[in-house]
Amino acid sequence: MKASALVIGGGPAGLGAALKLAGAGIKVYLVEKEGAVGGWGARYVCKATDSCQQCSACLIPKKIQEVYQHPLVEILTNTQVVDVEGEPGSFQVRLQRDQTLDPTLCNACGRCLEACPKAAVDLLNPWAVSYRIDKERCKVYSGEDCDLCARACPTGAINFHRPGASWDLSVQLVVAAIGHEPFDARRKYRLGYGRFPRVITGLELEEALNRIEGTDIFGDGWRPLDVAFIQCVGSRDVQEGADYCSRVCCKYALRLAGLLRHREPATKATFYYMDIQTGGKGFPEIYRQARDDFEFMRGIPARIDGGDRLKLHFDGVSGEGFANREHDLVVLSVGIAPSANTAEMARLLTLNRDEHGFLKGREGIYVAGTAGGPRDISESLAHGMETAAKAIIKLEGREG
Amino acid sequence: MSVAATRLDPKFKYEVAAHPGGEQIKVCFACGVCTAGCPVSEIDPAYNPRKIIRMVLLGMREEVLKSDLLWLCVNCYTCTAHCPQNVKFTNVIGALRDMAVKEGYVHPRFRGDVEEADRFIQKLRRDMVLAAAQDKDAPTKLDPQGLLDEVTGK
Repeated sequence: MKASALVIGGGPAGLGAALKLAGAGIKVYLVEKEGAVGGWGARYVCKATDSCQQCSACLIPKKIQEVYQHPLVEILTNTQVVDVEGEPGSFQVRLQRDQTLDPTLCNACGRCLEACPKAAVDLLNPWAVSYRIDKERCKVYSGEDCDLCARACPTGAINFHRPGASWDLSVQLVVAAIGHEPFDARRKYRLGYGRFPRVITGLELEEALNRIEGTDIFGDGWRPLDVAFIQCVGSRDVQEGADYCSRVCCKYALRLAGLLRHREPATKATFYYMDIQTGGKGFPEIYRQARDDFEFMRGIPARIDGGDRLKLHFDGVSGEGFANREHDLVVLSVGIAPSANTAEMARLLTLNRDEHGFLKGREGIYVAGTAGGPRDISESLAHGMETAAKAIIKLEGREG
Repeated sequence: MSVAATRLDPKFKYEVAAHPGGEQIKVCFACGVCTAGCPVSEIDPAYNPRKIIRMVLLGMREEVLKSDLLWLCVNCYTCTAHCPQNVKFTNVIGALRDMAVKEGYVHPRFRGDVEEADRFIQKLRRDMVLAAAQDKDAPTKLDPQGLLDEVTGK
């Protein structure tokens, strides 16, 4: 019998796992609940300045292309796993797909986008092959009557009356690559996120810089020249149940500052930190360069006051005492938290969770990427492939 | 401030950690959010919770326990609320004050003053509760200057 596998989640780890499994001749069903594969990583910006900064963001489009081209990978977007039964070697999986927007009919012409009053139809990431409907913003999903996008669509891809599909699959193994959630910065009320428009998260800066060429991040002509990065927001924080280093925030923050400076050489940046984690190949050099280019303040601010300029209250370097300083823009380097549906997935797949809430695998059901703990793009991709390799060895051992 | 390694007491932090309130001191990783949010530090930058913790961890027993700065904390618990590591610095200060008194770093006169002030506050509290219980309609009389005079003995 030809083996088949279910990969849940189309982020870097899911893509890596799917490619590895398919490469071994296993039929892969790659399930993604959003409208496009790529995960969080597909929204990040290439942080190359004059030279490559090895941020790995470019790996994602390559891998997306590879899975789309692989004959053994079936990509199922807008699809969720609703039930899993069986035992290692033989799982029965029930899938459910929202078919309001049919990705096979959508040719991304953009008419729905123009028609929507709520800007609820968009491309999830720059590599998406079809549009998706943002259920948070769409009026129909909050119970209102609206079909402007459906009427604007020339191919009939959008139809709010098209019923969802539900079907069963038999697979030998499951890879749970359900990913993570960026830490919700609103939980740190005193840092002003959600209250002051110029306090943003690192993720938002990534997306803005990915959208535009310069540094006009809000699209209103204003450019930040004096940026504060606050590290460890939602990482290494016992009070938030996140007693771990997220491993990615120092890296992306330093690279983002470098990119801002590359695009606008007058940009100053100050890092408020406890200690900079310089793990990973090539990163110590980036850090040494950043030490020359930017200012480093060893102290996490306790409070930010709003206004045209944002006022940070912090403890001056090396115990000089209480100080405050103003900046144009504050970027909160938010960490990696377990995905919002981790509990639900743990229940469906009968998996345990570790003390921080991340998933732990079991026989026949493998956990890959940030579903199991903080990892960056290349680590997630590698972990997906490694996990798949382990699964293949186990499967072949069982069969042979 | 210079730190003389020969005068450091490497056991000091363990003593503080063994004292009620000081249990968490060793997990501090010096992010400084305690000082950044401290209303006392804002007025007097010489008072610096992060620095006090570092001094304890380094073993600067004498410098910490004889310092007047220990007595500036107003027990507002802001540092405790902000601390990502749950060090509970307000409780640490309590432990350090306790040790300072026990080990004789505090002038007996100061100790007497604190005890007197404490007794006075307790008496005041009792009197106010009694007054409120006896005559529920009478407005509570508060005389801040009178209180201050009584506490300071003027």
